Amino acid sequence: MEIRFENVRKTFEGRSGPVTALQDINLRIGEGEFICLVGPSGCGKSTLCNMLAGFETPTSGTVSMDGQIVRGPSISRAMMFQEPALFPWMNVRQNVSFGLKSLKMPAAERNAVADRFLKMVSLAQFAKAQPHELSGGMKQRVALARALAVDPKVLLMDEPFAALDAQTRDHLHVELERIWRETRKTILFVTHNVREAVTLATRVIVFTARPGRIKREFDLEDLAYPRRTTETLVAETVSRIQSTLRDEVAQAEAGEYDRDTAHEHEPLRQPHLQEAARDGH
Amino acid sequence: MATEHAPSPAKSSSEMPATPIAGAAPTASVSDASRTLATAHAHDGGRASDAAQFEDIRRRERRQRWKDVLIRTVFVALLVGVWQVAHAILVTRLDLWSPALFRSPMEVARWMLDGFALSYFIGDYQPLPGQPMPQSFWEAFKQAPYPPAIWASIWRLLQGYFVAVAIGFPLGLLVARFALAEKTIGWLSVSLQSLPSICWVPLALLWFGRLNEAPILFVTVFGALFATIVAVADGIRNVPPLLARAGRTLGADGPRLYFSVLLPAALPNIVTGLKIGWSFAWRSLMAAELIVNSGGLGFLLERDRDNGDMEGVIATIIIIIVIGLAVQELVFAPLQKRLSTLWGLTGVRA
Repeated sequence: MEIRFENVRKTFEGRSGPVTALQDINLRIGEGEFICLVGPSGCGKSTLCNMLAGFETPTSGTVSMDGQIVRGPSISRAMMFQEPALFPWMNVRQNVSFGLKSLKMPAAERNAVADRFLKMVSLAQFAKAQPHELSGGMKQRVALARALAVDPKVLLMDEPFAALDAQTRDHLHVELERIWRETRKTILFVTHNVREAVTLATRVIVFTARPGRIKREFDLEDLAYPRRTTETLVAETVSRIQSTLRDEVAQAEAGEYDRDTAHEHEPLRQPHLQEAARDGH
Repeated sequence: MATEHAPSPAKSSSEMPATPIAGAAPTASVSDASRTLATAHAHDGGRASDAAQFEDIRRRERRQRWKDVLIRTVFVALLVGVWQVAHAILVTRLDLWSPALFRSPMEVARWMLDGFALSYFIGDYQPLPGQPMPQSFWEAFKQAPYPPAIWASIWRLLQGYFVAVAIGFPLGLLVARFALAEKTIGWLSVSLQSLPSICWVPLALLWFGRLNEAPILFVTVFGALFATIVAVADGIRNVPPLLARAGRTLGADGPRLYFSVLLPAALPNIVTGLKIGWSFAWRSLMAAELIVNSGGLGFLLERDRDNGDMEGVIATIIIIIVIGLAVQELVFAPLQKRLSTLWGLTGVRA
């Protein structure tokens, strides 16, 4: 299994002319890698994820998986979103087995597979619950089970835990890491949280501010799991990546202020914004 | 009322705490995300107290419903009081208004009792001119003007609405699905929707004549049809794009995406659309009955105007309003509530 982005550029139609979101993207992802894309807001990391999912097409260049150019969504590139996007009229088990139906799996087998993946995310006892009865974190675990159940070649995750509170997120990191080690699924994970990226990834890819380019890659293959941010090596990696990212965050923030008032705000001189930048927000 | 929309499904985001809802299985309802994992693993201990809490919420909801009914009753009573006072001053005391043109609430109530033959029970029942004194309430009831008129109107409404939905629903699906249908049928429906349905009456009369049901049904169907098409198509178009994406990334496309994701996701919106269609049908029907002389509430309204029976006009208007309200409260409101509960659309209560 190999995913390739070759000379990918993506331009959107803005109100004041075209806006280039991504430029010169060349990236290869191999079997079993856990890739985290980090970058300041608006750098196009989600766009990259959407292009691999098949929801968006590159303006130029190609995105391909196993030599086949991506032309639309496919169950072999299942995606998880920031919101759980569960189907509210189905119970939890029906949600998880939805994709299996696309695979033409017989009903009995579907239920068995769904239950297995619900067990994997520790929600077996909620199989018959309706999504609205679950909390945000539980919903997101159902969404994870739903995406994993179809056994995609690559699992795409677009800031899947960004809307959750810190404790739930920490739990989910542990859970996701365990699941990744059990299944060795190839994962492309988009986040703006450097700590999240370092906790999970085998490779972290840092993007520049818009137009997004790949600024640097960090190979974390040698960093042993489970990673705690209190460990020296992990903490050092986090701060290394954060310092790489800092200029880009500053640039992105400057770009989000009016040009003529930017000097008044001086975003990074303000201690609370500096704090935020350090947290990778 | 007709333009009221159900809350958009987009609101069911993960930021919204799962609201415990009457009738939901208490085992799974956890409103606090941070509590979740602990609860998921050891939630048996809290089950009893949770159940008690939900019972409490249900009880509070019931009490609130009765309070609402009470508030409305008092409000209506107040309006009737104002009406009575205005009548006493303007008609009885100052003689500024003809008593034939401004009737008191009591006179209207009396007319209504007569109209349902309920005055049979208060003893001074007068048979209609040329009719013998009825020997039982049932006999009197059979002579009363309102029951057959209400039945005639509702039966026509059911037929017209059924036909409008049977045609409009699939057309709405087509419009939401195919760009070509959207550009043609969709565009036409939006244009025709703004045509007041009473404008169809002359055409219907020329085509079908005055002496049968056809012109009334025609107007009712055409009054509701376009609103139904537009509402159903809009309902599907307003499905959160994220749900469609979730379906597509899980391998659903074409008809399967449409029927197993978009259509069920749009159901709450579609019910809102059907409600709009129903209210259009009811209005169109009344308009048609006013002009086409063949029974029904609209006809009674017109006849009472002809005879100068002001109390009859007011009484009939009230009955038309009450029927509209009853359908809203007994059919659509429970349906919408059920769907929005199941779809998790019920808002956060403060």
